Amino acid sequence: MIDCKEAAHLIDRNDWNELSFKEKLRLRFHNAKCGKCRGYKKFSHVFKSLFGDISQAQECLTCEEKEEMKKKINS
Amino acid sequence: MVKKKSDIDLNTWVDDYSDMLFNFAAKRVGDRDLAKDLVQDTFFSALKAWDRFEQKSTVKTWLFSILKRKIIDHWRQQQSRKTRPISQYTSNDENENNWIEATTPNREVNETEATIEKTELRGALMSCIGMLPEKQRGIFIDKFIDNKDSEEICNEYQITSSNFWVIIHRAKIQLKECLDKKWFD
Repeated sequence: MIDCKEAAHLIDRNDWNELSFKEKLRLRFHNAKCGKCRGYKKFSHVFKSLFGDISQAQECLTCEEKEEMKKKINS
Repeated sequence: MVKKKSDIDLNTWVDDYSDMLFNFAAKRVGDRDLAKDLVQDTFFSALKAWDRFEQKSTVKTWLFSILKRKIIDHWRQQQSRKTRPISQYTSNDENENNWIEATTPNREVNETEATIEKTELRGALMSCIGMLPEKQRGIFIDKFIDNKDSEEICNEYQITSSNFWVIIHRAKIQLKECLDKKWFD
């Protein structure tokens, strides 16, 4: 049985799908008995989702914004 | 070939680099207008400092380094800023409260409010990221914002996989504590 410290690190890695089947099983057994780690798992998942939109988005300036920027820089 | 300041075509800079600089900034500050201002300031600063640019690196690399410094300055300025607290957060499990209260909105909060809160929360989160120690911040951004492969980050920073996950875990805990202070106090 793993302790909470090890479980926390498995949870961190699990968010990035970096756990083996065996590790997933160990984490599941631990979380079945540990409310605090279940809480951390939820926190960790929501926390990562906050970054989901940011990392996937490709932000671009519009043509108007670029023209406006050119004017300001050249003035 | 070494260019003189008078030879610089600023319009070409905007055409060639503004989108990539803007994308980089927007992901880090979470605010479109601010990101635009930062890019514009970057061009201004680059033009001002052109004579000091030794041209050992490319203009693109140089512009990114200026922008990075501007983002760090922005984060530092944000450190003292307080945002308004969110009203209600719920959980059914007492043991889980410590972790999820920071991120799970009450169902009663309507969608618009939730969107605004999410945007503000993201802004607070970004300024908290700015407060992390440099190495930790770099590793965290590489993983969570740039979605780099863990192994690639370990190689770049010359750390072991186990060190990497310890750093990520500590960063998450520090960011949660920072959000508690910045957002919920």
